[in-house]
Amino acid sequence: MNPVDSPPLRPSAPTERRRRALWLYWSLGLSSFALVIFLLWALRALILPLVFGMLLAYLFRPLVNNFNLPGLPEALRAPVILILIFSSLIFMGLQVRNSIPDESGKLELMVRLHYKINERYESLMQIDPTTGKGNFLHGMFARELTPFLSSMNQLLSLDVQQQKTFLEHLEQDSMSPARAELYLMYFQANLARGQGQSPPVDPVPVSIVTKDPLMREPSSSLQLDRPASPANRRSSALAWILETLSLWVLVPLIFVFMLLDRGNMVRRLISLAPNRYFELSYSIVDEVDKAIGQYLRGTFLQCSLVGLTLTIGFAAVGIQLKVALLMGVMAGMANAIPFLGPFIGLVVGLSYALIAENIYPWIPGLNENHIFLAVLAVVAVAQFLDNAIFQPVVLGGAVSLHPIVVILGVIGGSILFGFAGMLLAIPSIVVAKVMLVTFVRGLIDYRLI
Amino acid sequence: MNDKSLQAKAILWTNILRLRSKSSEVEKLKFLKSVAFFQDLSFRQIRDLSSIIYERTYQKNEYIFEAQQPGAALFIIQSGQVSIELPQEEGGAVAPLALLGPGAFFGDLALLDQSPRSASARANLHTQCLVLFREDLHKLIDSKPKVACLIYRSLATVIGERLKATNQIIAQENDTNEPSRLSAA
Repeated sequence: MNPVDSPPLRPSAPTERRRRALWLYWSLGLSSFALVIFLLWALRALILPLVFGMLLAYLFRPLVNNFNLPGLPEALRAPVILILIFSSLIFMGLQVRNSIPDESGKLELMVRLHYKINERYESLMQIDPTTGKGNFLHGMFARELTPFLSSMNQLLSLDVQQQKTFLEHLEQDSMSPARAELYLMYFQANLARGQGQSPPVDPVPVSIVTKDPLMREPSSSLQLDRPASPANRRSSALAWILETLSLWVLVPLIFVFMLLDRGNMVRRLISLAPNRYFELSYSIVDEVDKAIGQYLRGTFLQCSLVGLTLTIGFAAVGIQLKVALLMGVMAGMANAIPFLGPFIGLVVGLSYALIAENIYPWIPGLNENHIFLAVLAVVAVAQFLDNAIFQPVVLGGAVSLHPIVVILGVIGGSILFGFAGMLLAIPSIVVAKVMLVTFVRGLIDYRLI
Repeated sequence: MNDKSLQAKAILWTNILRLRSKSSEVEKLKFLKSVAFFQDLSFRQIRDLSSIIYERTYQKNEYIFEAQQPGAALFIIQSGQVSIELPQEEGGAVAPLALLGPGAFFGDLALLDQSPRSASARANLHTQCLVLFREDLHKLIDSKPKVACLIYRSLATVIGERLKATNQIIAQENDTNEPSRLSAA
């Protein structure tokens, strides 16, 4: 073999053509970057629905790619799987929506929660109604807890319109007389508490209550923070719903287009790379794609398992299956937020434990008095299973982040985009980290730096 | 020229361009079918394969890849000429190993793993290549297992033939060295 004496032009050799190409790439790159930043800022309201749709598409893509029914023509595969996915999502959405209380149910919950919080507080502190003094706990924590309780009372108190609606709801035939009387007792006790009176002991019949001026006239302090008129409130709520819907309608669109795209968008993007960076670009995109998919699908599975564990646990300690399912879904979703997620699950569980009345536990010997501790135990078991089994098995090989990055990311996400920002902060940071790490490693491997 | 005639021209040119792009797609399919690596695939399978193949154009003397870079793809020459070269340690000189023309392929070992390229590939002329990435082939195992199997069989055949050729060369070298060794003894 004879070595060639004059080597050909290397890609790095400075030529006029190359210099012009470089100048073009740099100016295009910089102007594209500026344009992207401007668009991101101008269209920031679209970011969340867009990211949400993309994440959903990522979750379901392996299902679409590997879906294969014998005898089903290839052209029908994608539509069939889309119909299946949408039917499942709509079914689950309807189940969850049915578990969410309507307007009257919400008022019932507010009244019950208002009464139960005060009842539990008084029984825990053993407050004497005549002297206003309690046990040693009261002596130690009353100064800190009383303002918190007052603000909770204020938050849960009903305004005039809500009081009217609630009383009309009590008079309806759908509610049993015993239940109506119980809620009336709660309602009166709450009102009396709002006016600094002690709670009445004997319940008053519904028919009498509606004529009682006490129910018609709310305390002046409660009116301060309420909207001026129900019509205004309705119109602003409608505007908010329309505005949100118009943006979130993007989610199913993005979802469908990304699922049907089959990587064509990414392929076009890779095709734009200069020859020198072609293989590198493909490797980066591929690795990022794998890492994000692994992380998202792992997190989804982990959250589903936590949600399922909590649903079964809550149902086992006696919470209604419908409510347990709703709480499980909420806590499972919140579990995607590191550190804060389990706490949200705990708060959701304990909030219900506060107002729990009739429980039907699968475990014998449990009653209403144990529900608080039982919920704590269920959340603790779910967290133990999550840390000991679900996370190591499901997320074992996925990207890991430093705890400080996670905390800062969650806080930053919540500042920028609220709850949804908190939920999506970590997946976004994972994407950025994988891209950066893969890019730098690729540059070194391909001897470009 | 009125608006209507302008519109008609626009429609005509759109359709011509569409036809042209379709015919280039057909040319690509025909070319792929003619490549030895994919000769076992039917036209339908070639069409499936074509959707994951990239097209690249290289200028004269431009490097397609360089030795020691991680391999990620197989390259098939559609037109032009590619020189496979081994860089020498001193002074940036290179030793040419082979000259490949249309229909030939190189970098096939990258379809198996990410081991570094053993030689560099440089476009000797203005060259057009079709590129098949290892990871796309891996994904094809799940989505189109039969197509992936046929490609892996072709790959195994190519590697087997190369092994046979290498064995023959070693045997010939041994035969030529034998008399001189005997005479030296």
